[in-house]
Amino acid sequence: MEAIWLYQFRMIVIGDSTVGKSCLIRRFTEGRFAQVSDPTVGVDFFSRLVEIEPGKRIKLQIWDTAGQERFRSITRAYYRNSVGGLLLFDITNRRSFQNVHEWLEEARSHVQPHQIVFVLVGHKCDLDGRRQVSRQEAEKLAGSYGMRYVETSARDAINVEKAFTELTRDIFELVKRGDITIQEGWEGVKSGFVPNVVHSSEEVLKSDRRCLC
Amino acid sequence: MSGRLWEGYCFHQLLCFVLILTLNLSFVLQCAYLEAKNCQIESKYLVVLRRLQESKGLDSSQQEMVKRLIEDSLQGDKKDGFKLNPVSEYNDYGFKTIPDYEVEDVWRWIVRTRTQVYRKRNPNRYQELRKHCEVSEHPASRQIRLDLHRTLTSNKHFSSPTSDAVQKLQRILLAFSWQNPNIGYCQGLNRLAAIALLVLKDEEDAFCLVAVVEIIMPQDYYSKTLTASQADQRVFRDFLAEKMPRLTAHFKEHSIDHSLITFNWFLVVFVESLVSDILLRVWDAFLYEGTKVIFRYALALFKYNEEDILKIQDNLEIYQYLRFFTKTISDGR
Repeated sequence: MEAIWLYQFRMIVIGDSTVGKSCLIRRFTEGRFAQVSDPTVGVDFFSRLVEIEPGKRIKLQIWDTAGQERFRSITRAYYRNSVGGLLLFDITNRRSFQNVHEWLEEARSHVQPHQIVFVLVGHKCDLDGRRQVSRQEAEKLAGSYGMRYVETSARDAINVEKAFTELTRDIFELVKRGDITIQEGWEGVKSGFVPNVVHSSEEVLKSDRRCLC
Repeated sequence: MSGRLWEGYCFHQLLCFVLILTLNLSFVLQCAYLEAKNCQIESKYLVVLRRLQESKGLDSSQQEMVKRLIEDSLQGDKKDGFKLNPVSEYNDYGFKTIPDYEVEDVWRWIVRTRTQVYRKRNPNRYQELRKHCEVSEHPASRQIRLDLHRTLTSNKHFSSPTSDAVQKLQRILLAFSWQNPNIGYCQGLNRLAAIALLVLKDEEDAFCLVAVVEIIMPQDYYSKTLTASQADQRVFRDFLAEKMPRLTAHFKEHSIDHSLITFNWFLVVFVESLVSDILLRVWDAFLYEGTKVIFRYALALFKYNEEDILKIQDNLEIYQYLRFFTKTISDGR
């Protein structure tokens, strides 16, 4: 039996309120940009299939989180079962950049005993004229955390694919090398080879076709 | 006999009055419940009167007395600007229909009844809060402004940032941040205020409604820790396990944490989860009876779709189904 997807990775998207988390995810999973999106209350989730090499597909479960601080007591429960994370700030909002460290600490303290592979995302790069955080500065910060840095725009669809795909590849490499392993009771990485659910795999294929349109 | 009924009716009002005089502000809520109870008694009283009127055993002076009492009682309703058609109607199929009423009237009546005592003590509260907003900004005002333009965006009244409704929404939320500085602003309150505005239109009434919702909800529902909101999810989990053990087992088997979906239902009382026709009816009951209504409807929603959910065998598909299924329900009965 050929697997529809090799693995399923669960990812979490975090960052200050209104940096554009939901818009970035929607651009990636639905291929469209909403001018406005209602504030996320608690947690929301999306999914999409990513082809990292010809024939090698990974299913991404993407968890969107509320940015307002008081929802952290809710969202922190979702770190533990995530293998990847996109840490967003808005390049036109210096404060959101300054809070990156706090977000990272928050994630690290709640992910134990597992680990999350993060990518730092400078969002809204179409608004370059209003930039308050330089690329160099952000790259330096990402470097100090050992993360990739990528600048994205959901509005102009810049680097959105790249941000998710590169993160997926990085995790895939770690899984291949055995640095990250599938564990019972942990939702971060799941294998796609499940021989006894042929029926539901077919359904997955159907719904994925819809996603990729 | 009718005279005694009348005494009973007065006694309740008197009781309320005594309570208002003797108890401090923290008992306002109990009073509001008592008043609601009073209204329930009033409506029962009206039913009794109607029965009396229909019965053949009364002489003409008694009939006249009953007639007058009914008129007085209905007059009382009119004074509050709200009247339910007390005579039940039947539809073409012979089912009893819900008496016709305007949602706006019901909500205004509930808001005014629930806040009656408070408003007597602080007649210009809203205006004072607005003035306070002009001289001093609550730290929450930044987040309020960020959320103004992304509230009920699919609704035509809120689709333009310069619209009248958005301006009102801003003033209500800013005023609320000082009304309850410990809460300040919690995302979700914007949706509650928006719904209040859509129905009541009047800014001050809508503000009161937000305050009422905050009173109805347990303490710490929207506070910085959201403790009560999270506690409700635990309670709801227990209810679900008791009422729908098959569904609970199904969720467990597929590692579904339903609170991912239901937390939202509770926090914003189904705004943007249910279609508006049903939403408003749920809110009628919620405003009148309180939080238990949310539990009931949440259970009902799962029950209504239980068989469908049980058929889905994939974690992600279950989540995807749960995310939207409430919007597909259009039968409000």
